[in-house]
Amino acid sequence: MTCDEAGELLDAFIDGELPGEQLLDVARHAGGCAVCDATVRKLSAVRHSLAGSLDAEAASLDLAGVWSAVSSGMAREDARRTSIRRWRAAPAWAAGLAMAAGAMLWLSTPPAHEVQRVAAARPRPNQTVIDRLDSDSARLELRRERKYGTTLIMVSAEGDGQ
Amino acid sequence: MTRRPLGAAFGSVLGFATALAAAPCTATALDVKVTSVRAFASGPSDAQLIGLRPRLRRLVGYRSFRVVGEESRRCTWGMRESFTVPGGRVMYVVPKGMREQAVVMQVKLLDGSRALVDTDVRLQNRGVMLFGVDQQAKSSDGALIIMLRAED
Repeated sequence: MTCDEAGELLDAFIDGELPGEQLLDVARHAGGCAVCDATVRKLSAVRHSLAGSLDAEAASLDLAGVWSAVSSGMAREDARRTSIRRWRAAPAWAAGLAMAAGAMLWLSTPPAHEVQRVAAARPRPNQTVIDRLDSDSARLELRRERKYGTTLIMVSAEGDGQ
Repeated sequence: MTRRPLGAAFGSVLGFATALAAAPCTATALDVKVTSVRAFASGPSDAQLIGLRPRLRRLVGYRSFRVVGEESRRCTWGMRESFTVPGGRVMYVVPKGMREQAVVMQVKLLDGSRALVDTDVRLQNRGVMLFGVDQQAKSSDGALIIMLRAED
């Protein structure tokens, strides 16, 4: 493998996107070539510094509110388990009576609270909704990436010949 | 006798008109950034795209990305702004408003008089969407990727 050939693949090598055989070829070449080795180190440093800044941002997030929410959730769960234990300890006739009353209440109440439970899905950072799309291009393609919701509208430079 | 009420009425109309004219300037800005990126089948990529590179590769299919133009502008709601794109193309952006944390806008990518893309979109605030122009005749020329970012 030459330096030019390795140079073409270095970005993908750093990103870990090369198939096994090519990964080994680039690694072998960089192991014996000071110039390519230095380039790999430089690219790795940039990648690590970027990852470091993201980690720092994540570390600076205020998660105090999260813990209080978790804590109250745990308290609710504990209370639920305690009440189940009490029900189990109650006489069978009392439990049956309570279940019948509960069923009556459930049947007579409109399920309004169910609607409130449906939480809207959190939008992704690049989520895009396309309300209208027109093109004079010969080719129009819509691509979407799942993780961030990034949308790409791809067209060709050539016209449709009309 | 009638001059005073007339003067007061004229003054209040003038004041109202001035306030109305000044209002859109205070809270109607949208920051739009258009970055043009040339995508190639192979070769190195620009360091500023290092975080986006894997995502661009998955979406676009090319492996190398280089920034060839960048333009940031503060846009006024309802007003059309034009951004120059390499290859003699122009991108027009008309921000229309905010809806559920998304920027509602019309985006038009023109190649001469031909509309390569004419679309109405709702882009998440501070989000990025991409437009790609592929050169079918000469695949070695790669593709042009236009990254559009909008922030209220």
